[in-house]
Amino acid sequence: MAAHHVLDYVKALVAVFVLMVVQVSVTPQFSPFVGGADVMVILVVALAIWRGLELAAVAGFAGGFLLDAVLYRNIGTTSLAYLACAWVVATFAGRGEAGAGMLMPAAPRPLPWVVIGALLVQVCLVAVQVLLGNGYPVGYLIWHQIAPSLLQTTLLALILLPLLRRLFRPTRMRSDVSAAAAF
Amino acid sequence: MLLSKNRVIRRRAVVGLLVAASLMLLTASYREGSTGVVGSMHSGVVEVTAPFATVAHRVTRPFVDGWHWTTGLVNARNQTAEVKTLQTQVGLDASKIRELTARLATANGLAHWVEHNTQYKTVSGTVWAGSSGGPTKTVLIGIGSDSGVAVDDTVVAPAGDGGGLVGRVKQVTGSTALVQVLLDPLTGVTAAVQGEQGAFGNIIPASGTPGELSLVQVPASAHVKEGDTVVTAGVSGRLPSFYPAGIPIGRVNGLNLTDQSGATTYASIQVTPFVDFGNLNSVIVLETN
Repeated sequence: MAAHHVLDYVKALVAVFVLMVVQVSVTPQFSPFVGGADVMVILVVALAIWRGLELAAVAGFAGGFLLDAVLYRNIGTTSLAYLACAWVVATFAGRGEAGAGMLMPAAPRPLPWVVIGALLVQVCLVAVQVLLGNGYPVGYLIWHQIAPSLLQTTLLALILLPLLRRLFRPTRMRSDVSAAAAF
Repeated sequence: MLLSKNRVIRRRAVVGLLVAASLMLLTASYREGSTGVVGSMHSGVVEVTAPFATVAHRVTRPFVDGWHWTTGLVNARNQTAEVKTLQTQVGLDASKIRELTARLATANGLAHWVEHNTQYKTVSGTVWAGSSGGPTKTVLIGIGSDSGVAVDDTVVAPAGDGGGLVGRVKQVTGSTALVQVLLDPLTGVTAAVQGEQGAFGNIIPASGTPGELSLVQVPASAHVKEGDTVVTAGVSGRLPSFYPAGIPIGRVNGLNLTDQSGATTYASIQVTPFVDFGNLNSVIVLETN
């Protein structure tokens, strides 16, 4: 594994830890609703777009694990939601592989994908609560958890995405396959 | 291409492993609850993150306090505006209550006209029958000259029957009397709108509206409005009327200026009588003659 890949993993895990602390300790204090901002999903979406599924999935799993553990929820639920989010964004964000000797296509704008990812994660978590029968009525969850969380996450993404962009600068590397090998 | 395939396989393997790990953790979490390995995971992670969370909490505390102060200020301003609105509303309601109380007192006074005018000797009786065919023009009552009833005596309804003017005695026997009610055009009652200077006129049955009355020949300059009370005037021209002044007749429910006679314009006022002449049960005769 190349050194810059290792560095990416280290940076991602540090970001996961910091954002977990922020999500647990800081954002709920500013939110009058049940659902606070989901900063972890911003990281997962950014990594899925700028670094691909692998790193996003690892970060999502780690972030979900930490959040579930700290908040005394069933460990694994949030990890699965973030993994689904990472897969959806990495698969459908439309950043294809570069051809031999070609630059990779430019990364799409992450903000709309943050909204989609946050919605997906919230819907997954609410669905789990509803299916397990230990939640509130669906209408209440939609208006007091999903909608406020989506709004706050989107607003926070406007601040956080530029910072994450500095940390994980989108790459336009040439493909691993050389032009000569392709021919 | 081979390297690319390897990357795809590695990616799928990593994601598959993470999904499997998540499912295993979820299963263990449900099976063990907060005990065993899962419990130690919870406590371990909390122990590690607690110092960082405490620091983050302390660092953000001033900002949180500032946020709460700002939102509290906004809320206080909103509540102040709300309180002012409520105060205005309370003031309006109090004014309305005062107005309604005054109207209630007036209505009570009107409904209990007989009790408030003790200078007249009264005798009560029941209604035996009303005239048939069309609106009631006369009613037969079960008291007569033996009880002191005389022709042209004024007849009013008790408070339970509307408390208004019924008419006057037209014929009398020893034990019965025939009362000509206001719906008879020959009753000839002069009336006034209570509280309006110069709003005098004559009461006649309304044409086209059975059971309703009209106050006609009222000068158009009189400021009459819907809801005003019409009472007996007590005079007829320069002569005293058969009916004492102030007996309630009905309430104004409409007016127009189409009643023109020569150069002077008069208002015609529609009046709904307080008494339902078709369902009158008892009456009080004022021995005015």
